[in-house]
Amino acid sequence: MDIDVSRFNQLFFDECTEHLAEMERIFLGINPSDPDREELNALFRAAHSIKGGAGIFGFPDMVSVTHTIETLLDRVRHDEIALTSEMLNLFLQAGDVITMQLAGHRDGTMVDEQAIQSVCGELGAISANSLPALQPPRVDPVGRTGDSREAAAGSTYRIVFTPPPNLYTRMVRMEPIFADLATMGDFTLTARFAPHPEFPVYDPTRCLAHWEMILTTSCSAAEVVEIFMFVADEEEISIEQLPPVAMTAGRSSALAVDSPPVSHGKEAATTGATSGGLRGYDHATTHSTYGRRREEHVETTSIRVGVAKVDQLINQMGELVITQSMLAQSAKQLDPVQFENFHRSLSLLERTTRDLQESVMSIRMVPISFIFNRFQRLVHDLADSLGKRVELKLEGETTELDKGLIEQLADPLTHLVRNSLDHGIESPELRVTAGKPAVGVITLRASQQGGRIVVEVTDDGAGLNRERILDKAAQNGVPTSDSMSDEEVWQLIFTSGFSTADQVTNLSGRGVGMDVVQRNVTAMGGRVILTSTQGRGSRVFISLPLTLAILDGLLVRVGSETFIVPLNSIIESLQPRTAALNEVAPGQSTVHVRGNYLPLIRLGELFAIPEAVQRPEDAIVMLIDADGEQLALLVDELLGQHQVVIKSLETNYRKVAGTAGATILGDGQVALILDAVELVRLWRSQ
Amino acid sequence: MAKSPTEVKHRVSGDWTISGVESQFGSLNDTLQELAADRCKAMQVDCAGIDAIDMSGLQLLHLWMEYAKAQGVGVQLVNLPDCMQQTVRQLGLGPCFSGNSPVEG
Repeated sequence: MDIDVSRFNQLFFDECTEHLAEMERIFLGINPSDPDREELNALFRAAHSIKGGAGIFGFPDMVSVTHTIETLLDRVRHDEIALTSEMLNLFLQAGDVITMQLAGHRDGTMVDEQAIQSVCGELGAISANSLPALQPPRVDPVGRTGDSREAAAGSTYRIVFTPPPNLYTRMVRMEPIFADLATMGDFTLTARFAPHPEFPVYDPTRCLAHWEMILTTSCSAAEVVEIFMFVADEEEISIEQLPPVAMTAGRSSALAVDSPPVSHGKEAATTGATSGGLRGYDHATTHSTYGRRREEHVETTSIRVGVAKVDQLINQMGELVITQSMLAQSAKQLDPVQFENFHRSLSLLERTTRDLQESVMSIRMVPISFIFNRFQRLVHDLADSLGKRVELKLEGETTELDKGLIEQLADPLTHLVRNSLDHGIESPELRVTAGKPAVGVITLRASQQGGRIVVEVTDDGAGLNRERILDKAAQNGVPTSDSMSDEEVWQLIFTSGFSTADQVTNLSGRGVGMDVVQRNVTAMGGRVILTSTQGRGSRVFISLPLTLAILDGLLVRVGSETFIVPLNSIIESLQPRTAALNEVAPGQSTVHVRGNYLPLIRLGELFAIPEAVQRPEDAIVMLIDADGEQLALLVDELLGQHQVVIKSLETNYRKVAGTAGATILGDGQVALILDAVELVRLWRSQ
Repeated sequence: MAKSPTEVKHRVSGDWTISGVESQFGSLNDTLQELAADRCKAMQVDCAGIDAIDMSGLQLLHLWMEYAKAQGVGVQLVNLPDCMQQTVRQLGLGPCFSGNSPVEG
């Protein structure tokens, strides 16, 4: 009978990824000269969990590498060897190796065996320099380890594992479990079989075995029990601490064969053991991972759902919103008094739909720490390779945005951080000469501002060099002028192929970066703004929509066409007086509002709608904010505020200048959603 | 199986993991019936042909041996392959299979 456990592999891959991320986070932050005990234990547990899972799911290559890490970590946390920076770097590399192996099993990607051998060899060499070289644990015929740990200061436990009858059919292998226990101390193991029926009626797939173990170890009972986390439920394991005198008796009975199984579960320690004596699992200290454990804490009330399912749910939610909107539109024709109940029900439907939409949208919202946390490792490694000293500060990590945006943001952010490291932050010597601290600072900051998310990458490096940028632009044939403002000069670096780097490094300098950053961010509905002060540093702002799916907007009519103007772009609407209007050039007007003269954009002219109202005094002027620049839009009529579902024009048709997408109104008509900044750009281009 | 009133030699082979134990069980059951019919007193089981074995296979083998013993037939395993010996050790089954020979000349 074959049981396919591969369908559970994805669960292991996901959990393993989380453990690796946690290990990397701790490796990057731990102080080697005074490592925190809990962090060391957390590292050991994570490595141990990965190894256990890899063994269960049949990935011996990962078991081998993780065993090397785990053994070294165990020695560090027991103060047998000191943690060093060199060791930390090797641990990071070993984590990369396991990640590579994981990807190999999950995605079928190539695995660099040489890198694996190299890292394992170096870790082994570190271990060998202090104590005899690490060897895989051996278990002899009576279950005694070949590399017994000195257990003078440890405890002795009697452990009985009585698995359920389906242990074999679950394809569980106990060898890695017992091998793990053998590494924890002096270990004896004996298998026994329960009384069995007559052979002719025996079911060979049914497990009749149980195991009795004696383990003398410096580990806690919780750590011992944790070994079984992947294979056993709480009621299948019993562990009791033995007093030293009981240890001998326990061992002498270990050789008996076919005696009745020891009753498991709730035996108390025979001699009134100290707080180390336990029954079953110690819930206070055991940790929940995938596998067969009774789960009690908040973490286990979540379930994993594929992104595709969430996207499908959001799409269907969007369709529901559109349908509800159509229903509301149709109901407008019904007398509100005669059809009072119907209108009331529709109001309730609208409220419920809105609540449901918010709940569904929140599923996709993830904290930006999801990508921010990746940069600790990036900055650490790159600063190291460049011989620079850099501190990375993270602010606003709990700021949430749409998961789709998070993933698309990773590459642009990575490029910006690399640029800061490579071209922004100076070497320690140069910084000190300039009167700055030797350690440069790169800050990643996220915040919600109105209906958008703003992500900043700031450094206190050398800043942009205006003259070099102008020279480079001139060399590239880009028209420039000395009278250009600094902001206009900074925009030149977004030109394709632009780079003022003296050298092309592995990191940057090929001139294919900032234009791609801007293009990627724009594709997300965002924009990039760069500011810089020579000698003091640079700051890049990325402004993104909160979510790609829905929008609060104001319906406006221009001629026979309907548009949506995002609410967060609108400052106010007014009907201008003639005296407030000024024609500054043929076809170009301004409107005077509270001391400011704002350019007037006629949407009817911009989108070639001939029947649009021509006289502003007969129409409505909407004051909008386009990333800090204020302008006035001329529309015929305001139709009302709506929350609309954004449909991509690019996906369904093509990119339309001046727009952020489209939506389907309640009457079934398609309305274009205007983008303030794109609108301004379109207007200026015309 | 060589026939003798007192001792027989038997070979086991193939897959003795959870994937193959059910078919091995059938074969062992038949052997037990033949042993009873032939009134054998001892049986030597050559394990050299075992390709792979796990706890389910070792359990089966052990229980078969115990049952044969209960029928008055002494069973000795010989030529245990390395994989089998290792698995016996790793699973704490040494006492169950003590007195058997890894290799017989």
